[in-house]
Amino acid sequence: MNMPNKNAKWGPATTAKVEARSVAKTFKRDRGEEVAAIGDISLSIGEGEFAAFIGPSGCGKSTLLYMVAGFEKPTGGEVRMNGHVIDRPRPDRGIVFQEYVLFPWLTVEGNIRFGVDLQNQPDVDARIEHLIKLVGLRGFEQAYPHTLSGGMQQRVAIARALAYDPELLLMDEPFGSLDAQTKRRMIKDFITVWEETKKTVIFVTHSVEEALLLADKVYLFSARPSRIKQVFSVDLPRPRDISEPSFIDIQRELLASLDEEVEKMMG
Amino acid sequence: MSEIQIRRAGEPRSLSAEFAAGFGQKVLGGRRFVSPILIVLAVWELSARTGLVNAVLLPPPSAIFRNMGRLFQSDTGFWNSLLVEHIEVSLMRLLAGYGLAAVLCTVLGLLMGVNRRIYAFFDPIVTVIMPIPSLAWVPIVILWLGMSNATIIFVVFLTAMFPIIYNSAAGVRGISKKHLWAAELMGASRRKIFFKVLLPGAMPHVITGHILAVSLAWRALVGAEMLAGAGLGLGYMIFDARTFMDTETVYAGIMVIAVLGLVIEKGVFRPLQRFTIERWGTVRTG
Repeated sequence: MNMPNKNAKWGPATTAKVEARSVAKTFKRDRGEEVAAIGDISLSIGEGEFAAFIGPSGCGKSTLLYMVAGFEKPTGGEVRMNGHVIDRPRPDRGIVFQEYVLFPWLTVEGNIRFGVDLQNQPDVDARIEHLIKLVGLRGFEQAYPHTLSGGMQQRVAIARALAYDPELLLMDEPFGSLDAQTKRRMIKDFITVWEETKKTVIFVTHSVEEALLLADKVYLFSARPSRIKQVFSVDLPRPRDISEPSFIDIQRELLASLDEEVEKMMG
Repeated sequence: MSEIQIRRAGEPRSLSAEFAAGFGQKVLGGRRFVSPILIVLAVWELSARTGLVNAVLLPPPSAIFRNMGRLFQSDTGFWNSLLVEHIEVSLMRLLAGYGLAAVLCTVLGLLMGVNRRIYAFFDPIVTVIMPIPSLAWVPIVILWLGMSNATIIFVVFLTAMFPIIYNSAAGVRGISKKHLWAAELMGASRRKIFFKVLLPGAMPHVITGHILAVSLAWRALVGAEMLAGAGLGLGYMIFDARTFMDTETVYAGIMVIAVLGLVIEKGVFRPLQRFTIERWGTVRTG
């Protein structure tokens, strides 16, 4: 496949933390028919950037996230981190799923320490204690996940992903399972956590409000087979006020553009 | 009988505490468990004494207990009595057959869960043989191994085999892909994933399989002993007693079988189940 010289478009490769170059992904459905979820996606996420992926259902935003994680591979194009093609899951990344995916046979602390113990990182006790305090789980270290509410379980998941100090944090609709109140609280608290750690984050969401409250850049996916329709830069200081005019303006624009794509999907 | 324990989150009990609590519950009974049984025994006693039922076919409990006392006696004390000897032999056969199955079949079940090719090979075989009742195997096994301990142990093994294999495999396969993904991302090798995720994750199912295996094996054991007990074992004792119309011994044997079965299931395995499944609050991890 002939590819034009992408370097001219992207600038020096060293500034990009995560890069997608003409990524495509097709899935085979049961009867052999192919579905092109991702058509042609190219994007570049910088170090320390908080990137949100938003788009209609089935546009491949979670799939792209899983490709960055290393769980899936693109059928076309490539995904790179720090300039190297992503070959498999590695602990330089952390992941938070919508369904928490905690290990029920481990306590809160056991879950949080899982990655750290696997990698034999030394002298982490202080870091872990601080992290537990930061996500608001002090006092619950010995509790088992099933005794905790959804919001608390997700805090454990976030702490677990950050405990081993990965370079990149991947989040797949992390607040999707939570009720509205808990969600608002979690967003607020997560901003605090993020501001302290300043990690590069890729955050997949359905919610325009969530994306605009959290992200530096919002990448809007088009309908299937998806491309990046638009990239919105959100230059507002955090924590952001949803009633503020500049917030409302960008929200209106993003929502309108998103609805266009949703219309195409729903027909 | 269930006792709802309300504990603060984060205060799990040790395994020995669980065993003590489980045994205490069973031995001390709890009025809810014991009273209906006492009522039934009382009605039974009265019916048998008043001639409402045939005292030979359905002897009163008092006679049965007296007979049990006799069976528990010997010239050299309790531990050498006939009944204790039968009990020892039955328990030994159960332990041997189940123990063998516990080791071999748990491993096979886990392997089947992990490796698709192993699963594809063994699953049809297991599925076909599983519905065959264990006692149907006894005549064949007698031809192979004679009327011996080996026959009984083999039948016990056959019975325990399937719940263990099936549940162990299901336990592993039931672990969600995302749990494996998360572990892999955090740096776990294939080996680490097996020991730190698959094994603990499958544990609830594995334990359930073992509980089922022991329960079914105990029942099959008694039946097999009737056919091939060769002079020893609770099943043999019951079966043999009928030739003398010694119904008191038959019922005594049945009671002992029931109590032992109860002790094994509730006293040994349920605490284990509480220590894992209920502590982790889950039957499946997916």
